[in-house]
Amino acid sequence: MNIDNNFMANRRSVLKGGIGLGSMALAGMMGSEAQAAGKPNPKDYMTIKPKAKRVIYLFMAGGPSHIDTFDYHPEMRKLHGTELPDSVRNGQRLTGMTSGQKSFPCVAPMHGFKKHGEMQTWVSDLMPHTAKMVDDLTIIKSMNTEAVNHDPAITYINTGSQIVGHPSLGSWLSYGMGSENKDLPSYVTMISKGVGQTQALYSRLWGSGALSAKHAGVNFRSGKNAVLYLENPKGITRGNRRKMLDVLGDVNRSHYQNVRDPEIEARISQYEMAYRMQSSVPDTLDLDNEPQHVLDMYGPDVLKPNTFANNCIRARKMAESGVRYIQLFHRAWDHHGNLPKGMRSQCKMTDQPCYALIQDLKQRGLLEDTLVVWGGEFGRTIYSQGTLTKDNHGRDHHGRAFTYWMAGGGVKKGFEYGKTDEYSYNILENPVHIVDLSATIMHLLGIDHERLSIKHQGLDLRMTGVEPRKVIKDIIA
Amino acid sequence: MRLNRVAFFLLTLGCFSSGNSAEKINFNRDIRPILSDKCFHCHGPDEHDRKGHLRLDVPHGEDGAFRERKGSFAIKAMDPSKSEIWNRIITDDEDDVMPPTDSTKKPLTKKEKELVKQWIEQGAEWQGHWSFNSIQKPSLPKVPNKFWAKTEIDHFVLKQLEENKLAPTEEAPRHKLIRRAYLDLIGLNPTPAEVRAFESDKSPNAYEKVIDRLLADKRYGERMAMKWLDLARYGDTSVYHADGPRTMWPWRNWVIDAYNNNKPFDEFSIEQLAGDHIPNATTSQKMATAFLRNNGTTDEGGAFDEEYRVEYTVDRLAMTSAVWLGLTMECAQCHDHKYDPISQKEFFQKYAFFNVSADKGMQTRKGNAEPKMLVPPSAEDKQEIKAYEALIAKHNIEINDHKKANLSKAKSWIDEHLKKHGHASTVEGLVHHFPLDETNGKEIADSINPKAVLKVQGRLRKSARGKDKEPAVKLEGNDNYFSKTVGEKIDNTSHFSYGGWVKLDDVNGFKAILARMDSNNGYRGFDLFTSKGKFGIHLINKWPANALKVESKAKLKNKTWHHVYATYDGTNKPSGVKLYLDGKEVEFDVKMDTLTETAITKTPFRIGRREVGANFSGYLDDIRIYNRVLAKTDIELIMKQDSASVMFSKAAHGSSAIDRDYLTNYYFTKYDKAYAGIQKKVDGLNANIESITKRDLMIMADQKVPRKTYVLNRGSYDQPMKNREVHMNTPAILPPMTEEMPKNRLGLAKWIMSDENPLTARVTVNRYWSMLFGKGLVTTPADFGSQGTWPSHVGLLDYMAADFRESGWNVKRMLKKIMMSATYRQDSVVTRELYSKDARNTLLARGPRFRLEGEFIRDNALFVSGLLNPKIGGASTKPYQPDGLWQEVSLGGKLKFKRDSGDKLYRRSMYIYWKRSSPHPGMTTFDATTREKCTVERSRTNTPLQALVTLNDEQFVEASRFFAERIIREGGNSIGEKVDWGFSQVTAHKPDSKVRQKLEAFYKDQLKFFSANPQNAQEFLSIGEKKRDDSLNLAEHAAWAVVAKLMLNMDETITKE
Repeated sequence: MNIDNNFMANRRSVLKGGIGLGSMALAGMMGSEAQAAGKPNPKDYMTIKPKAKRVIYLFMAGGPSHIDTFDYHPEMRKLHGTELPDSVRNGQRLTGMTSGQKSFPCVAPMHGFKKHGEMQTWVSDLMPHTAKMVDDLTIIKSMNTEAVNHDPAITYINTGSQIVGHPSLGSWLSYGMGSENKDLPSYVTMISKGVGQTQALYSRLWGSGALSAKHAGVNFRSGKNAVLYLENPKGITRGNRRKMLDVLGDVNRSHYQNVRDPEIEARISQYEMAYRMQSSVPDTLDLDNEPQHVLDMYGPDVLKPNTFANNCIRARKMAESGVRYIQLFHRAWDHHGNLPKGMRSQCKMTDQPCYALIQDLKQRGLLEDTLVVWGGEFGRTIYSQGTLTKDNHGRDHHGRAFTYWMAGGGVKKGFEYGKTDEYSYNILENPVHIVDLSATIMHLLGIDHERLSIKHQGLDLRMTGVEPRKVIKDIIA
Repeated sequence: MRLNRVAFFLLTLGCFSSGNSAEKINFNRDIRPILSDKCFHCHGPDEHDRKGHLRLDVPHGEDGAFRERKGSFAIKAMDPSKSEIWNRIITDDEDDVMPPTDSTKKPLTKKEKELVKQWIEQGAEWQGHWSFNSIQKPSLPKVPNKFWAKTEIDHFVLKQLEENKLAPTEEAPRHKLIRRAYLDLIGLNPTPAEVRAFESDKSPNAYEKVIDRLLADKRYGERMAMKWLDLARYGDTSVYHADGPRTMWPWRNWVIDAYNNNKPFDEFSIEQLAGDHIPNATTSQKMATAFLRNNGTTDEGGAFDEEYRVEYTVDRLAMTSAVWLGLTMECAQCHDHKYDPISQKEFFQKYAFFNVSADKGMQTRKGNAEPKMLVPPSAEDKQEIKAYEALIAKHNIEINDHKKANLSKAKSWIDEHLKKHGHASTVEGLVHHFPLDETNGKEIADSINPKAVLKVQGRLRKSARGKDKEPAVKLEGNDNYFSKTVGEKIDNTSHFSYGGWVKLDDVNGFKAILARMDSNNGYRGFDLFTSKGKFGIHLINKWPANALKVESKAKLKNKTWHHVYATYDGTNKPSGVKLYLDGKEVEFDVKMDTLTETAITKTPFRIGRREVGANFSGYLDDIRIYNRVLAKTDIELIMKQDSASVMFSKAAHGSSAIDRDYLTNYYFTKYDKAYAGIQKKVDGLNANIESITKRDLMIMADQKVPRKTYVLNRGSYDQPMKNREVHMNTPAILPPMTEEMPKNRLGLAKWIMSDENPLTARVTVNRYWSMLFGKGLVTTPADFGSQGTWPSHVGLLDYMAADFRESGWNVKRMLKKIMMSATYRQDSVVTRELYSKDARNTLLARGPRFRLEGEFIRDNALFVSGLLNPKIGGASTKPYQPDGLWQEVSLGGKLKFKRDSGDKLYRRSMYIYWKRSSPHPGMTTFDATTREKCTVERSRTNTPLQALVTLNDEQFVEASRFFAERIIREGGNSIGEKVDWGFSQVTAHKPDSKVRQKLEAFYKDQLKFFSANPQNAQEFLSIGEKKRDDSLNLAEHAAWAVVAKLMLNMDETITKE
């Protein structure tokens, strides 16, 4: 019987001292599981022809102003300083930070905008590099979310629910698609930070909720040994460690002879995997052999740890190595005050690396099956938070309309989708809910978001929840 | 795992219980899961989504499963061909087939179809959902091999083994058994001596004695509490937004004590759910309710209070349902439950119990939010206070002695200064002078006008200015000092000057240094303010129509002391104002120039805010008010004066008496380092005492005027349906609340624990079972509803549930009963044959074997290395963790993890400070959850990241070093003896000869390496805070530490088996 053969194969491979394919498949990269609640069967939900194999999500935490980046209307110049009409605000709930404000003067961007590319797309002068590549992007100007405060909004967009505890998109993909590279995690996050007010992040944003904990994102730190506890203790050489693992393996195998619990085999293979990660992670992240012209493309921060530029080139390396879902969090977009200065500094830090990442992927032929997504948890209000002066103002959170861009991985090139009114306040056409975006990302990867589910506490738990959500087919190439 | 899947598949199809197809179908076991999964979504309890007026979750009624409509039956007993559901399941017609082809539900498998058909043929016998039926204690099944059975439990297990032609495994060897019991009841290994004692105890109740001893061990309470913390979503931080610190650990102490005192589970539950409602509630009963306050709370500036208040209420309801009832209620927040008979209305009826809670949606980012209570000091606390007080008394004697001995120095200092300042010029016109030199108390002195005392609102916080440490004060936003009799004459027509020393922590915001200003009457009055770093004054009759405002162009630097003054000449005009920054006149902008009328107001003068608002946070010193326009030279002079010099010059000029006591104290505080040193110690000790006496705990309380509960449209907080008010009640599917149960949380708690409730006892014993066996008899411990799994041993579950209830909810007794069973005592070795038949050990033909929780892996490493700090209870501690983890995610990116040191590094892992946005990575890697929400069961993974923790984490490296010290010292003489000794510490038995040889050889190999590379040994042995014993040979120590590390990483070490 099949069961028996499988059992023997595993055992033999372990007893021979090598780690056979059987137990590898058994273990998977990020671990086996004793009390498996049933493994997913890709046939059930991978029912769509995939256009992308992996995702790089450039998450702009804090909520970048869509008005000051992409969603520009020349009419704004005339509206500058005028009061936001009630008819536009239309009962929209405001955060506790501006709900007491007596006046809501509209503010046009305090920097220039120009049209770029074949589609003559508006891009802020603060993003000269992004402007060069608009013909590669799908820009969605009609993103929307119900949440208007950071914690619920960032939880919502990452996990599909404002209530904490749901699995994140990356963990769903790890669960549903597994890993392309057994020596690296399937879901990696990296964090960088700009200057100014940084809102909190939470490990739940890359958590696995009710999915097995092995699907949670692994947060990579700066430097080559980016995984926690990756380095051997001081004084212990790689040779030492190898010898110890050999003896440990022998001891464990000997114990297996008595106990015969396959979980022991899995443990042995995980220790071997840990050993391999000690070289595969630094190898993957090693920038020493990057040609100078590639490094230059990412700008002056590229070798500085904890910068967005550094994380972008690392993201490319991971994409190359087959990491399924790479999520960068770049913080400090929360411009309640001093927005003009804050935007200048944030754009300076992110604009060139974004451009470089796309070019780099493209040159390596990776952009075709790598989906790159850029955006934050919400946008910002047309009206000024605090006093509007000649050269300064702030903007409050705005969930009703904001902008995302996507590139590669099966989305259209040089395409704009969705439209807002001249206040960039309300969506006029083709709204895209943040969960629709998740559904679309899953679709591009070949997953039917309605079918990838687990049973949890009496529900069919899905990334896209119980409300009807749609895949935005119009943006797919 | 593939094998598991197959076995699971077979099991769910009932193959274990049924060899031949004629066996009677059990509706609850065989049919309900199919209907629930494939049909209930559209033909279930949710009225809104129900299709074709048919529901398959109830048998009768208009839409019931057996209903007839137009001559056709949904289900016709004995006759599949006349049963519409059967026809729709098997039809080829794509439009008719069920489940519909366009739904996400998969078609029935062949086997499932067969089961449905057989069930109909056999008469379609319907049963209510098993877990909603009352618990009847079943009689013991008759089994041939009854000699094997040691307790009632074994009869049930054996019956099913025999039905499946399986035999139980023999009892585990004693070393294995005792280790299993220790790990299960106290989470730690037995020592080899304890193992030996048990192995040589020939008395028939030797095993029972071990269990009894462990149940009486104080560490039992810790072990049980650790499990409860997951359910109770315990954390040391607030979760949302800032995820700031809170103090909830006194409740954790309560839980440990409750388990150790074997508080019956009904009392344990009722006190935590409703201790505050118990008549004449004790302090302990009130403290218990902190359980319900462990939910995450927000402090986000823009958050909507009601949105979060509703979220907390739902959390409490959902958590309570999951923990006690095994029911998933959340989905009924937005719509009727899809699978279980719980309507949205019933959800809100239960929600109503928690909807009257007094805590707010917006809570605090630092400390505990109301309602809260002071935690009475424990005996240990009292001892600590006593020790502090004794030290304070000792220091006070030192202070007095020191003062006495140095009084002459103080006197000569005073005399000398009196002489000096007598000649110094003085600045005339001083009406008020607040040196702000107070170190504690509730009043601020005016050094020249004893009557003009300011009262302290908030707290007086001591600080210091400049390199001379001139005493100064700190205000934290809610502190201010006020008096009605200061500045009452300052008006638009008077001449005056005022100012002082200011330091800002944050230049942002608008802050009043001093003000006498009526915010409710057009801001009438005056002030001195800072605004985004600039400073200026207001003089206002009515803002903005009749007011003067000027604001400096220059800015104060952040975190820097500045001398800030304003003068005014009574002309109503900006030209009559001068601003001075650090003694230099500075330019200003005129922001308002409409003043003509009086600025006199009756509201009090305040340092630190206006009557309302403009709260000051930062530092202040030496604030003065003069009744004339000071010249630049005056202000330069003031800058140079310290507060004492004012008094000296005043005294010398005869305009005020000199306060020698004040100056003596001033001298000692400022110029006598020895005195200041002791005083600092006393301050520290007083703060320690205060941290104990002022320690509080968030608890439950209901509103005095309870709010009404409405069904929320689609569960949305801002859409209460005012025409659908609901009242506290429990779901109709379960037995109703009785007369004795008040309609409040206490009534709810009593209802949950009532004998009639069919769920609580089942759910609870299932959790205990899961704790001991690695999974429950019901493998969905949080879902006993129709989507949950059918119990592997339904009779056993009911037997134990009934027994637990009858015993008066005696937890220790229940655990003992399970652990005394032959089932529990089986060896966990598995034959290939058995594994292929039952990979998941569902039928219990062998003992449990599974990896320990991360907490116990770490605890045992500390334990065998002799590092473990045995203290029970108390505040959470911060052991080793990689740098930068908090900063990386924290609000503002400033919050740094500060590791504890000394003994606190080695406390049991359940006391690790639980920061819920960034919990300890060593624990989460081993599947600990963030505890932002209730966790009924953790996943149990096996990953390479786990290997990295136990191999490389500083905590484990240090532990292996100390384990090695013990091996060298206590392990005997030969290498072989040492290997045996170490090995038995972690596994409770000696290695076999092959393994011993391998480890010996490995030791020798490592010894060679470290002898040749002493630098490596030195580095390796320097990791961790606690220093190594230098008398040990370096290379030997390092080699043993590597062997010890290996032992700590063995599969057997981290596994309970």
